[in-house]
Amino acid sequence: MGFVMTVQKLSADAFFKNTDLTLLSTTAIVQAGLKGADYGEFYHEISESEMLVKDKGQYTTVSVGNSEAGFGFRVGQQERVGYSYADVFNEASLKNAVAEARQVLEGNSTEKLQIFGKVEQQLYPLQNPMTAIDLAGKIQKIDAVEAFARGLDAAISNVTVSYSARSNAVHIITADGQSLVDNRPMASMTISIQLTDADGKNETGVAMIGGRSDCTEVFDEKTYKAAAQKALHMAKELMRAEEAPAGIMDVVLSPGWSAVLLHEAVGHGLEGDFNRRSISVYSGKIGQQVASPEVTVIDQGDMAGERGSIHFDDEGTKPQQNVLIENGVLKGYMQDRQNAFLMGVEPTGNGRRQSYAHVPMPRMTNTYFQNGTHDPADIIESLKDGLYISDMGGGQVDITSGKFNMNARLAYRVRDGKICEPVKGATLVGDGLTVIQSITMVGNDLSLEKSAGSCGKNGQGIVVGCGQPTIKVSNMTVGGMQK
Amino acid sequence: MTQQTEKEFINEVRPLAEALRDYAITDGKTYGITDVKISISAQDKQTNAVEKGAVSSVMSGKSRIVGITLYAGDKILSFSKNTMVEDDLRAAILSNMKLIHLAPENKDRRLLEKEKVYKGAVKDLDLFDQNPPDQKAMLDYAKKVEAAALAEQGVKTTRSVSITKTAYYSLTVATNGIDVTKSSTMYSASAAVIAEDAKGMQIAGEGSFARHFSDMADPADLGKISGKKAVSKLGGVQPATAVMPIVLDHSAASQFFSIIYQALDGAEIHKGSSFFKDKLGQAVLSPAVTLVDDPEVLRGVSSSQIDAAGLKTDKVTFIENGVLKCFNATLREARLLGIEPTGREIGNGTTNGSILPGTQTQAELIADIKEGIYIHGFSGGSVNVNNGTHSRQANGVMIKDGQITNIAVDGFVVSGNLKEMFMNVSLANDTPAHPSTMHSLAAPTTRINGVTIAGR
Repeated sequence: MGFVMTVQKLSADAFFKNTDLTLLSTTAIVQAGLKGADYGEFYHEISESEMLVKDKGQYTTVSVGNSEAGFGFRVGQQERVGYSYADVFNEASLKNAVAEARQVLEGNSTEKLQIFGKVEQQLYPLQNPMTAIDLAGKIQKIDAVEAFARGLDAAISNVTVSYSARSNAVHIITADGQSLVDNRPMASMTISIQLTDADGKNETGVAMIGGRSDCTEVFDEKTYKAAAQKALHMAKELMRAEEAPAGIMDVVLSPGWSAVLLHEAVGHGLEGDFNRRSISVYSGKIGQQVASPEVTVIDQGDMAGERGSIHFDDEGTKPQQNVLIENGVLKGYMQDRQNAFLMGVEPTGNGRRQSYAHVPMPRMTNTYFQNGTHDPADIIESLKDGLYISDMGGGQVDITSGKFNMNARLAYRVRDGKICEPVKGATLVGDGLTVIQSITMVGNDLSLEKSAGSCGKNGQGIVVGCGQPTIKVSNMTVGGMQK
Repeated sequence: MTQQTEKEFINEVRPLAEALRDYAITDGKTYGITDVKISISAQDKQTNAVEKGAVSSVMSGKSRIVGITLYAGDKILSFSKNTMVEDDLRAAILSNMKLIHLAPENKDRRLLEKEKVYKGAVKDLDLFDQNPPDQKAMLDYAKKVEAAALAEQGVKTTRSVSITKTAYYSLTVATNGIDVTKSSTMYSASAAVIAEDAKGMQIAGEGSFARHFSDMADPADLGKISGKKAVSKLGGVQPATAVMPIVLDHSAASQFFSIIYQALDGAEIHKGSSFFKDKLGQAVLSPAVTLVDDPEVLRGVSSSQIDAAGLKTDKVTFIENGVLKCFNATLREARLLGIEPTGREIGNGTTNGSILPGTQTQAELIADIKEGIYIHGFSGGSVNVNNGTHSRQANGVMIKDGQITNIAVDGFVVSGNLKEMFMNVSLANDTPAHPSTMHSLAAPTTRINGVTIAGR
């Protein structure tokens, strides 16, 4: 990633409009509130967002100028956490939150020194991602996207264009009095194209663009035209697709978004909280060969321009490259401060939360399989009878047993090394450990997904990135409906 | 924290809501504003979690949000802000009023016609717990759940045990005459429990939801059920790929029949992406199936009186003896489809649903199954109401010679086409009653014949 920006300095001023508090007085209350705690912090955010949706030729949603702001105060001692949040930010509400949260404290803490990062390299633009184009301009662009998509094929029965953007300003004050400010942009567009044939049969293809970027990126003509083409191609393939077969077969996963399988099947099991409590299938396995030697898995929050990148995590820790599995050997877990403290290790920059109304916990940032040595064409060619997963849908995992399920929106039968007819409705099931042990070939075409990927854990949703090169897995269970 | 009453909330926010409405409609004339809708809602939440018999986290907070929709004829702009500062909200209204001429027209999203706004009486459904428990009582509840779960043979630990209390309040006023206040409380407790044997760990859990704390499941029962569920998953094997009958327990049946709501949803019908789209008045399920959606259950978890459009929410029979009786349409969808709206512009669009009981006992339903699977739940996979594909992972236990065994099975996919699966269901006579059921759609033990199990 050769993409470097000059570091822009953000001020905390925006967080102190319309309040009787200042940075100084807030810091004093926060530091006093964290006395006797093992970990904790003050987290304040101001989010602005907008959304426009055009469906069946009509705008069904036009929502601009939305905002949400609030703060949360957390104090932790050993396993116990007290957390209180409010949307009104003033001295009275902050002091009240501190008092509410501190109810869990008992006696003195172990006073461990905490480590915090400084932003050294800017990973994404810090300006509001919604302001470069005005509302009239955005409507004009969405109309253009829709018109372009509509004109692609006479069999198109519906086009839906959904644009949304969000600016998330975050201010964190840590126990040592450090004040950290970030502004995290997000702009996305989803284009759905529905085809209907003479018999009334229809299928929908979808493509997404954007990510941790400015809205100008999603309204770029070349970008949206390519996305519309992609959505149409998917719809066409689904129209001619047959039901997927059922049974056990070798599977090749396409590069990029297929890594959502890695995210579910491996990533969640390597989050520190599950391992501290020994309830993950990976618990107690550090140093052991858990995967095929072809497999190296990394989580890295400091990659320029990637979807899951953050300048610091939601506890103020600088993200880094964390090698989770190296050549098949389990190296480490992803940590927030609570679990790092309790496990006696360093935090890894993975403490993330949905919003001010939530406590941070260990979460993924950008999780990917490192490149291997194989040419992707050779990998497909090596598949005698199996399935090529071209577009993965979503899925979920049970981190305790490691069992996951993923649905493939679009896949292809492969026979004698040749990609044959498309199939739909395939569900891949298995357990993460078996899958990473069954990876027989890893390609050299690593790609990270920038536009798709949101992750839910304990009811909290966050944006994450994932990626992989072409990968071959042997003996996967495929649930399909072909008779 | 003391709990605010509905009256206190209304006294606090009504002047603001009315001031904003009046400001937008008066000062908005210059910008062509013809109507305005203001909705202020608040939620007050407290979660208590326990671990190893002691408190592990206490979280509390309050959040409020003001939603504003401006109408200039058929041009519509909407936004929300979580501030209660009148000057900030006026400024936001002004900047949106200046933009509204840019908004594309959308006739279907006009406010409900004045004369159709429901002004009649509503039943008191007792949705607000006037006597909330203190924090200690909630912690005790969670501790009892955890203790009962840990007492089950084979249980290793818990992943999480917690109880949350939320109080909701809202006020909506609009220039078409909507003036609705609502308040409710909701308690939710859940336990995720881990069992372990030589072959590994398994996790499972159960939850309880109620409007009143006194209606919550007995904590010892909740813990025990959660523990037993986790233990029952131990030693799970992958069944061989085959076609066989499956029997769904109450949880799995609730998950399965929820697909009906998706298939008859007005948005899907309008898009033409449901295979129910041209089936009104026709049989879409086995004649055994009747789906009633009842909003007026006392203390019901999904009860509703008036929806966001200003319509009364009435009881609806969507499926009667297998026949599709009506679609579920919001005001906008109804206008697009040229049908009557169902008054369900609320939460997820449905209320307390029930699949009416069948005639056989559970034992009779299973008696002739030589080999089948008793399903405890579905997870992930895909369900497509457009082409009818159903491909979901499940777990459960084997049925052999008419008996539910304790042979755990998992890692398989239940595949079939909904058009056939819906026709092949038969029901037991054990539909749980609202509001004590743990599911917003209550369904009896259900058998489906001829399903493909994709496994080993």
